[in-house]
Amino acid sequence: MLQTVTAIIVVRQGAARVQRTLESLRAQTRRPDSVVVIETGSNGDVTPAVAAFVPTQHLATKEKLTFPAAVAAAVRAVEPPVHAQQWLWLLAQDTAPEPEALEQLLAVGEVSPSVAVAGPKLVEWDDRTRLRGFGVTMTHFGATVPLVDDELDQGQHDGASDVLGVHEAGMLVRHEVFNAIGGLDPALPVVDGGLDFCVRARLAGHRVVVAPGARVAIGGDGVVGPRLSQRTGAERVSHRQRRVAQLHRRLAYAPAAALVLHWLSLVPLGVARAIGWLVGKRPGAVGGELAAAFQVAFADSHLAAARRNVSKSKRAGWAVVAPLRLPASELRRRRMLSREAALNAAHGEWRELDFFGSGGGWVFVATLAASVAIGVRLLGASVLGGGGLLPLNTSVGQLWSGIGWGFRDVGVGFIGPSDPFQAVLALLGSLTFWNPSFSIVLLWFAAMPLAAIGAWLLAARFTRRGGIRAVFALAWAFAPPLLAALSAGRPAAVLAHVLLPWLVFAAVTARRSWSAAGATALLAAGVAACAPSLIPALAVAWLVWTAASGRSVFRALFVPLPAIALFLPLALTQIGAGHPLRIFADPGVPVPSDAASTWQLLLGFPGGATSGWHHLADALGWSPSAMTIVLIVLIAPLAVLALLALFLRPTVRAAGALLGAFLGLATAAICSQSALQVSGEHTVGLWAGSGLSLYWLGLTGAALCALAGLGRFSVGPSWVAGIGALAAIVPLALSGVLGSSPVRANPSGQLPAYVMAEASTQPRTATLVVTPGEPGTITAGIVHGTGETLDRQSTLASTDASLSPSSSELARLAVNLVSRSGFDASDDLTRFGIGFMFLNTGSAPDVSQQAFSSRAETALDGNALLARVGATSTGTLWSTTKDIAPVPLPDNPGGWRQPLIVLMLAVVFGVFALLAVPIGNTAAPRRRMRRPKDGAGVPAEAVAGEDAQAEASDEPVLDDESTQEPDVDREPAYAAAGGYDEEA
Amino acid sequence: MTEQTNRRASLTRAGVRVLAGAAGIAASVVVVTAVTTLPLPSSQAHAVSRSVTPVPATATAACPGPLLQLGSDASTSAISALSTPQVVSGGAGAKPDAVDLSTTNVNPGGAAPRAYRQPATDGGKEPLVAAAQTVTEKTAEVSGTAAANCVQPDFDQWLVGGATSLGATTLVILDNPGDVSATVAVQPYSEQGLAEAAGGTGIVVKPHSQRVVPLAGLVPNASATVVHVTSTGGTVSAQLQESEVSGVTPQGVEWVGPTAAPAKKLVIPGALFDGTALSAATATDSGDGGVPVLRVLPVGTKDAKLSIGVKPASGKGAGTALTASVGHGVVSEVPLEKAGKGTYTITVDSSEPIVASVHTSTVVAKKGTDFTWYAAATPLKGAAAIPIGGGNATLHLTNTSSDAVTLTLEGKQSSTITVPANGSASHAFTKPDVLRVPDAKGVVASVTFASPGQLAAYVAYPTSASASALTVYKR
Repeated sequence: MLQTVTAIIVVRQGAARVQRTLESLRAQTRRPDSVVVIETGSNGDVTPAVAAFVPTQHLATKEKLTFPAAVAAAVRAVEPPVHAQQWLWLLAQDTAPEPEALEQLLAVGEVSPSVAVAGPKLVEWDDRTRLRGFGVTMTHFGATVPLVDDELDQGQHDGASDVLGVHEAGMLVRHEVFNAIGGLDPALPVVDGGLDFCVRARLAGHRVVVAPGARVAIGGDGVVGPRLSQRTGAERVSHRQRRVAQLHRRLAYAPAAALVLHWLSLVPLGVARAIGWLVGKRPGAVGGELAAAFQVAFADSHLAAARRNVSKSKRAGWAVVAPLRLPASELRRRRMLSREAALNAAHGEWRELDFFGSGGGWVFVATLAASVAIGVRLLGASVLGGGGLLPLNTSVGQLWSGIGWGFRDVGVGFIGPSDPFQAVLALLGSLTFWNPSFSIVLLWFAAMPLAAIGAWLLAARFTRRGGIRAVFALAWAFAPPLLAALSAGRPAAVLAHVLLPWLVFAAVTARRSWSAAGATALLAAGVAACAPSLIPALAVAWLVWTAASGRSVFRALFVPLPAIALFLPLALTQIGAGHPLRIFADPGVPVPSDAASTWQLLLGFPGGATSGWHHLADALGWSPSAMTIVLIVLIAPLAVLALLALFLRPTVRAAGALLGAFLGLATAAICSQSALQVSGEHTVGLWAGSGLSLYWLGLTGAALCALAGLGRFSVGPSWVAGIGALAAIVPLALSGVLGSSPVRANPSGQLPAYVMAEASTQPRTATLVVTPGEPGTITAGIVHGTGETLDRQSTLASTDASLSPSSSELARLAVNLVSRSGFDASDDLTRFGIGFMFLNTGSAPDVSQQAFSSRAETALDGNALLARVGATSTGTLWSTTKDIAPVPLPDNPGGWRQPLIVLMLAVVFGVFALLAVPIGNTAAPRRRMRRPKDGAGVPAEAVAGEDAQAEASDEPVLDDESTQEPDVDREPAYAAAGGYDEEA
Repeated sequence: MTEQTNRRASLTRAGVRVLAGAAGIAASVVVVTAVTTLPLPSSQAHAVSRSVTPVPATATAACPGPLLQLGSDASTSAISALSTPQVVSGGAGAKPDAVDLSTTNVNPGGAAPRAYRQPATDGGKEPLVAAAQTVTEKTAEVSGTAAANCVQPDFDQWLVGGATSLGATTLVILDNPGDVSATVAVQPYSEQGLAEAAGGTGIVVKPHSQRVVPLAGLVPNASATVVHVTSTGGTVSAQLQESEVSGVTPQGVEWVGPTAAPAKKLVIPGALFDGTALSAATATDSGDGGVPVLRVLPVGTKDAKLSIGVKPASGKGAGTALTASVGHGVVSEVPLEKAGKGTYTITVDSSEPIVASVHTSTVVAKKGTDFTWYAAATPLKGAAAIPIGGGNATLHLTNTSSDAVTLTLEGKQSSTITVPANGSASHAFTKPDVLRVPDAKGVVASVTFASPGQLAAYVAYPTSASASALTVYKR
């Protein structure tokens, strides 16, 4: 019987590529007997090329039909088959067959009547040597695996014949079979349509073969097969399509008994796989994964029809398919190859830092030794006190449960959001879960080494010279703001300083690695939580960085998310109250400090402890101005180097560092003039030190650039700048050794031991603490339990400039208790649940405090509601004569907000933590099919590899010279990195 | 690329670099200048505070109650009450609440001592309460007229008077009208100095009760005593009851109330020097028993030089002045013999803080013998209440300022009285009353009860001012 071929061409109206498709059809050595063109999305006009071609049949529909639907419509228009030699040839607007294509296809089809489907080689539209597809198979779990995907055709597959499936584009199929097994599945419009069809053909006992001699060029317009595009979100969409197809097929092929099980597993499996994608640094796939799971589970309307088709065609059973599936060994081999490629690409990220070989170990040892020497008085402490230091909650669980929206147990207490710093404390406290307060002791000793390592690693990104790395690391570890924060007992500022170099270290690579971007995001959240005053500066830096990040802008955009999530509840509350500035208040205990002069700030000293130089000046009898001059001389080499960096390569990096310095300086200057918090009768200024940390990072960073740029001439300047900077902090360091710092090891309890004992059984025991201040003033507040803890502090409370009704009543109660008064305090005592009254005169009361204390003591002694317990070294304690029940914590104080906030934080931080985990990176060598527009045909791996190599070399923080300054530096980027000279 | 273009490129590069560097330095200078000179945005918080005026305390006046008699039988040493005194009480506003105090070591049967309480009104005005009691007794051992101004309880009181020598009986009466038990220390000073007696400390006076401590148990055979009463916990109102017997003849009885707190300048208004006593003393020449004496105790650690002025209350005559030097820590007596019969205002200027009182007596052969103590008075400021504890009383007002003051005395019969600058004025009352003085303008006042052979006196006390307002900062 005579073979007849009906070509079906699906055209979306107005398509450009249809011209070549139709021309190549006309050029066939064996021309199809009839051609059916179906135009979808038609507005009534005929595409000119189609009209010129004059097809046998021309169908048009307004609808934008999918390929399976369009083919089905066209097939319906063709006369039904009468014998087995009638073929259908499925084509689309952008599938141009080469002249022998049909002839070759028919040739393999003729060989045996058992062959029902024949597929051509799919090649690039513009490059016939580039294979795009040649047969498809599945794993044992049903995942689609292309047998050939993006390879150079060197005839290596020309021996192939029987395959499990072929792509639907260019597929030649017996018309009878096509009808018998139900045509293409409309649920698989983009991917897997051909595979599914071939599987059914196989189940029906037919064979599917490939024709190596037939080539069909495919353009990737998206009419048949996926659209080839690199625009943002393409990966997400294509992943969803692939996954939907796979899940649809899984349900369609599953035996009825397993169907329910499969259906139930859809969503959980989707979630699990989404987490897997995060760990694999493919966040773009997460949305598609979840969307696919839900779509197949709840919106797969074609499932029933698909299952019917499968069962109708199944004559041979799954056993015939099994040998054609991808063997497990082959699957393993492919996975291994892709892992190796990923490792190769990632290799550049951790280029050889040679931590121990180039002196990092010595820097660590030196800073650790210095840290121990400076903190020698704190050795053996299990908890620190003084300055802004308080113990942490003894229970790690309570540290964590405080995060979010709940009862803030500071003073009378109120219900509101936690400070973002609470999360940092919870994390910190969990490190030493047996005694959370001990983590602060560790921090005090580890701060300098940790800061040094962070700075050393950061420097290692820019230079190979061990000496320069060491100078930078030491300059950072012994930075005045860090020593001032350690000396003043400001844990938040210490943490911010320690985290800053790590943040920049991560940010430098964040542009090419999701792992680094995740780490950057988490570190940025940590820095912001520790030093909210840095938020504006960080935001500006982020904007500049984002603007300069080119293709990876998407990654840069995500970086602030954790910080935003962390600050959201507090920010909304403060903004809602009309005080947006108060978001920037320093977390932790408000510690009043002296404001620093601008000169001090310029030299990097945040004041407060007045940098120790003033004490030294007093001791030596020098004038303060002489001291300032000495300091200027000591810091000047660093500043000169920083400015010098602008004249040396790479300028942009130095400019970025100086921009950071400016931002830090401006932050510090504004902080030194602002006070957002109050503590008793003192207003508490913002800590300028965190701004200065950024300033110092910028300054030393620019100096680092200069030293790196100086090459072998850097030795002398390194020594001068390093020694100057180290000498400048000697007085500050001595303050820790000599004990002029307020930080103390194992401070005695804030409350008398009697209360502590009571509070150990009744943690809500309330003590009214009255502290005399200036004559005629007192500070009054309630302390619950054994005393204040660091994690109970709230900037919402410390920035509150109004006296709440309960605070006002507490004030009235306190005054009437410490005065001869006719006030009946029993109601108020009961209401506040006060069990103790502590008159805190301090260990060395002055005259006015003594006068006040005798007044208060007579009044308190004469109060029948109170009974004197005894005097301690810091004051006198009374207890209430009646047993007053403490006020219990409110039930579920957070209400609906708490679970919401916790969920938000868990999701955001969970996602970023999974991203940041530096394992399982599968994304590095993106096997992205490039649109062949520049016709270069460069192998994708090679391109990716080259990229990775180029990017893995030095990259400035904020900008990329190789892209930003093409005129200035066209050399390979690694040559631009200072220190990569011959001697290095 | 040729050599030339290469060089041109590198020159361009160098130029760009210099320009960039110069721009960077300019930017640095601009930033530093801006930070140094420009007014930067700033936000200042303000300390959160509230000024709270304490609610005025309930005003309380606690009276010593009936005269007491120490059991004649030395083995029992029981204390029993004599006749009930006449008490007057009042103040601003409603009639004060009377609270009976229980007695702990007085034989039951007598009238209970009373305290009077006036709670603060809603308006937060300082409550005012005053009470006084007088009694005239005539038993074999206790005879004479005694008067007491019921005092506001306090932590620290100086009682100048008393003796435990032969014939003299002194009881320390401690009232605790409050709700908190008071732990009292009674420190007796004598001419030997401070008597460190074990029984004088840790005396617990329960709430709403009275406790009587015989002074002889603490400092026996002291002819001149000063008692310092301090309390912790609750407060007490302290009085001495002093009675004297010469042979078998009672020589008089008196309650001795707290004198002014230790100071370098003291004023003792309205001291009646009775000619009969003076003449009797002169006639019998039996020591200075009848001569008015100033009993003085420098409380500090230095001896005091005294300059004593005895000025007639009428303003007529110059009065006398004398100087004396007294040792610190011991009780001394300075006789004031040169003044004649009359009412005097005695001023004491001392180099060191002292406490002092004046003792005078009256001897009328037919009527009897009595003595009294004139305590140093504390200036009355603001509203004051002065109790007139009985009939036949004289109110003495002394103005120590250099301006004459006119006071309004509100009572059953209101009146105004003008006290000349650095002078005194007096007003006689025939009926018991409580006088309210809306503004006492810093005068000192005493009330005397004198009739032939009978003598009693007390000073008026200021209302204890409420505690001052405090500014409270939120912790």
